Amino acid sequence: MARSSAPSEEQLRDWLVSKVAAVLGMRAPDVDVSKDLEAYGLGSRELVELSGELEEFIGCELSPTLAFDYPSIASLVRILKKEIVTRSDS
Amino acid sequence: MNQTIENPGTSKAAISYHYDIGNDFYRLFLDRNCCYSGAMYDEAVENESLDSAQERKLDYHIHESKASGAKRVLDVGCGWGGMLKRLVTVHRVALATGLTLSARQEDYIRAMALPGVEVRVESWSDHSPGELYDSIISVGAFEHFAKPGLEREARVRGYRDFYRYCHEWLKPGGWMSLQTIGLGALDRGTRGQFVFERVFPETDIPRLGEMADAAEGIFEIVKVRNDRMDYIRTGREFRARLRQNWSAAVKLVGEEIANRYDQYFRFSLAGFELGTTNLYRLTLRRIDRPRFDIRL
Repeated sequence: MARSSAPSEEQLRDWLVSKVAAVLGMRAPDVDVSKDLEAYGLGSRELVELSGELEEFIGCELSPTLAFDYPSIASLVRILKKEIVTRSDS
Repeated sequence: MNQTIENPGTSKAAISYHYDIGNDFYRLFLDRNCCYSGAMYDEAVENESLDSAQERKLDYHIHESKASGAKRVLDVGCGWGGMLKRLVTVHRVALATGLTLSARQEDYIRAMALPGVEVRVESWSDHSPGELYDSIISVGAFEHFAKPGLEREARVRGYRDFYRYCHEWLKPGGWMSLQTIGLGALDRGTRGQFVFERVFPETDIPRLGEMADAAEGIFEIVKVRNDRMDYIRTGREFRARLRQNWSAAVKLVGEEIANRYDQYFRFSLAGFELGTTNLYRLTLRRIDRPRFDIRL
């Protein structure tokens, strides 16, 4: 379900880490946020699905190629924070 | 007439699985003419509507196949009849014949009761026209001309049979305009392709080189365009319209199918954005001294 308020940077990072850990069968603390998701073995399908689930989490539409353009959790969090701030400003 | 051939394309049952979900459902996200393929946008037109871009696409193929004012035109994979309607109402075509494998599409076209429009539920490989056609158009059907799991050679053979049939049905000097999604920067058979596994069963899209190889000696390729950006805009429109009409969609087809289409549009968009799929538009001219036996 869409959230009523924009998630914080920390919430975004935690959400992404737990998603990626679940897909990879890893423990959340072992996920390196600076590592490319493709290098972790996530395929195109998982990357498109990830941005779809992110849409639901954040409550706004995202490009289906977001996780290709911003390939690590850290870069995703950065762009999402920027996007959310831009959108709420406009 | 042609000898019987083995058609390697999507079966009628698999076509029905996708296209017979319900006409009212498709109407929720398609344009007013129910065109279910990439539209053609003009960048000079600000905020162009889907209706307008789809009509430009129809007119483009009519122009490329020189169908305007023609006596007889064939539309292979006619969908819900948008092209057939445009041919007889705007372009003064005397008889526009459409082929589809979807019973619901046939119902839809018959209900329009357009003078000069004829629709048949049959595959191109079963088609046998009484008279030759002046032009042939096929938009969004070539994707269904080969099943997954075939070797390249078998796919090309199937496409070649299609061209051979079209050659036989067309008058000398006749033109054909095709539009299809094609495989881009991706290995064929890559696993985990949501769209082909969940949405379009028994479907495997062509590579441009396969379409070109198959045409050698039968049709000369006069023009090729890759307009994948057009499908990005079209797909965004499809998805936005589906989401705007979400409760109606769920009522018509249930949440599982509505969600599947929402996902399908996202995956489809990703493919066109990444260039793993392309949108090809080909203009072909019949070779009047053909070489069906040419060495490929």
